[in-house]
Amino acid sequence: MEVVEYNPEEWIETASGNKVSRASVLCGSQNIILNGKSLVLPGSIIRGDLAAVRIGRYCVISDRVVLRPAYKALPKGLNYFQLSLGDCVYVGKDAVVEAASIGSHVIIGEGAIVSKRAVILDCCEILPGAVVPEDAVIPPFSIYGGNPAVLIGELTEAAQRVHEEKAFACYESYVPAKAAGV
Amino acid sequence: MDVYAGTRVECGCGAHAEVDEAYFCATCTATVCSLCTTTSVESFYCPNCLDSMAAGDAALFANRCSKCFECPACSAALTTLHIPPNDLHHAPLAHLALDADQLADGIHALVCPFCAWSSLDLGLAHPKPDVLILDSVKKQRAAADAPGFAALVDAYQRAARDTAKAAERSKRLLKRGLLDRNASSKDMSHLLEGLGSGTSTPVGGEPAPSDTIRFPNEASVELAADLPIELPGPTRLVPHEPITVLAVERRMQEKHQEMGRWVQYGEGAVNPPLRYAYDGLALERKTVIKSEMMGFSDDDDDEEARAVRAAERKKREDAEDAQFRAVVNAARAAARPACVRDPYAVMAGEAGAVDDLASLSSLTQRHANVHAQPRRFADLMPLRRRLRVRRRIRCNGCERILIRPDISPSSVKFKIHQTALEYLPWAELAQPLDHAGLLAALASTPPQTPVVVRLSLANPLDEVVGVRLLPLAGDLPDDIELSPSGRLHDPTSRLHSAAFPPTLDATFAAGGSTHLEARVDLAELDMFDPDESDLRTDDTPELIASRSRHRATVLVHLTPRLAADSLAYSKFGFRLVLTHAGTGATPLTHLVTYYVHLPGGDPSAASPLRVAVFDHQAM
Ligand SMILES: [Zn+2]
Ligand SMILES: [Zn+2]
Ligand SMILES: [Zn+2]
Ligand SMILES: [Zn+2]
Repeated sequence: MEVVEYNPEEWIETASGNKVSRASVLCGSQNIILNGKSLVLPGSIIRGDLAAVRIGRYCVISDRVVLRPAYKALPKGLNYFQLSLGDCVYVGKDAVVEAASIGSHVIIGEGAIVSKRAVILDCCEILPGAVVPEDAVIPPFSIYGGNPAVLIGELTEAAQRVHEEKAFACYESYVPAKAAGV
Repeated sequence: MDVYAGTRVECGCGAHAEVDEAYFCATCTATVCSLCTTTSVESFYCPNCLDSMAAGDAALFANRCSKCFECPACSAALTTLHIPPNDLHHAPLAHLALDADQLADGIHALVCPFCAWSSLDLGLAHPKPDVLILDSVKKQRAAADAPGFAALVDAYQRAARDTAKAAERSKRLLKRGLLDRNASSKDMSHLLEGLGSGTSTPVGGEPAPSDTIRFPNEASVELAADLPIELPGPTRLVPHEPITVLAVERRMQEKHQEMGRWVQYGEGAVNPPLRYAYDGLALERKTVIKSEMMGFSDDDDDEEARAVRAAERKKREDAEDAQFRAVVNAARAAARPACVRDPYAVMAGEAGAVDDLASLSSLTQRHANVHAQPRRFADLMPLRRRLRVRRRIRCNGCERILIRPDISPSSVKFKIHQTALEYLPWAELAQPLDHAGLLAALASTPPQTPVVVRLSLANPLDEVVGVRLLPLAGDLPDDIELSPSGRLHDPTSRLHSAAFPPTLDATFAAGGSTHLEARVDLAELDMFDPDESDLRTDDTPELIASRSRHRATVLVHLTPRLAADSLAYSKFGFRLVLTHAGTGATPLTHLVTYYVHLPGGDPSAASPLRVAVFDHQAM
């Protein structure tokens, strides 16, 4: 895995090891919970102002990703739901996620759209550019792709281990650049 | 993100499997590729409501969920939408056979959240959601030619069963040495069915089971009458004819002649009675032409008479052609259902009947509902959601179960889970490196000085593992002894290894001895775990570059076997000896051989390959 050296001045590292780019937009940050060792890359937007957003450990929120809690229109008005991501979730560049919940060990490809209130269970892969319909339920070990996203294939039984090692390696590959001149 | 790309495991059968597709059999103490395993269905479940279904129920509901529906247009899961009374004026209610009383509380309809398909257009809506589901199922059943399809399935299953039974019987007889020539020909005639030569006539009067395809009910008899396929007719096999290569060849020839006729006159022309009718016709014509030609030479050279004869012949030929065409058309018409009989006419009819082609359904939409195959978009029925399965996987060598999933479809846990990655420590280069990069590194170091690359190792087990990294060349150290069945992987034994032997020697500092920390389940991991990336006090900095949890980065010293500028490609290998306590009284030792083939270099060296070979258990 390619080592990425970042400028420590442009990033915030929390006590639990989260690395959040200062160039990301965290709305309602008191509503955003990062469980540790997760990366939030530049240009991403997390809408904690709408409802709580929970992100597990070893997650990667790539460049320009939008995480936005979904709503349901009720007679009284819009009702927003909490958006939760499990551990080792990789969200690829430019993806938009409005799911109700995403399990652990999930990979969401670049530019994919996870529509409102969708539920993605553990160990899944959403291919780049896929559009997951509203209220969709995606069971474990599924590979979904296309517009609308349909079952394309199944991940092997080792997928959990593979996704986990990928997530660890990805977190390890983000290292602060040594100060200039040292 | 492609950490594992190009990494394979060598199976005992010699095949290379992607590491996440390989299993580890503890009985055979070997990695097993998916070709060396058998898969069976453990359970059925609906991907939408995640309810498990017993195998019997799944068969009863034709492998579809009893509650959930999917969109016939785009296959997304349908949702039940409640339309309140005040919004009803938007809905097309003309189809609905509901009176004002029933509409008072609003209605429920099935709608697609993705493409906005709605069951309202089909007239499927009801104040009560349960009734809506019942109605949908009913409507779908009504549209389907289910009995016909069931009859076909039944017939094929019966045929398959009979063939299997016959094969079993001949196997049994062969075993007892009771199978004579005639019996063998009788049994083997089943195998010839695939050649299209029909089936044997029963010898002893007792009908052989697979002589005719029998249909279980009346609906299927009707269906059989309408079947476009050639049903096995009376046999042309002489009873007691021994099956010889010649006989098979003759039958193949007959089949080919028939095929030729298909190509020439269309498939319908070979319906048996009509086929012979045509043969008679052709024979007759041939005779006429022959007699004409004979007569022609006798006749005088009167131009007029010749012209008259030619005109007559032309007329006769036209008439014959017309007759022949009628015969062929009749045969085709009899042999084909309407949609196949003339697809262009049907399509023209469809196109004429509808104003634009967009109102026709797509092939995918038709195939999603095999029973009905609606041609118009407006005729698409909501479909019950297709079930999925969880699988059980066994080792072919010893029948041991390698994978047994949890009962709950939403769980990712397994009752038995023996993937290769559960046992093989993961080894990968910590920083991507290709052949050109390695050459550059060699050029920048003084001669005879090794290039140092970083290799990251991950412990697959939840206990501390002792590690010894050994060079590929040379014997094993004295304290490691292979088990009686064990042997070292010979790097020249496999095709790829033999053609492309390692070009670099890998060596390790401090005898390559170290350990890997136990793997901790992520769920049990403390959020504020101590900084575990520090080196341990006993770590040699020349061997261990860094640590993180169960992972460690080790330094590999690479020395080219040849002069650096004559390296066509870069490949090195090393051995890994693992020792862990295990559950038994004595610690377990495993030996794994790794090969790392850097991308680039000689194009004939194929794609970059990283192969791990589980070498047998050491003692
Ligand atoms: Zn194999
Ligand atoms: Zn269901
Ligand atoms: Zn749809
Ligand atoms: Zn086995």
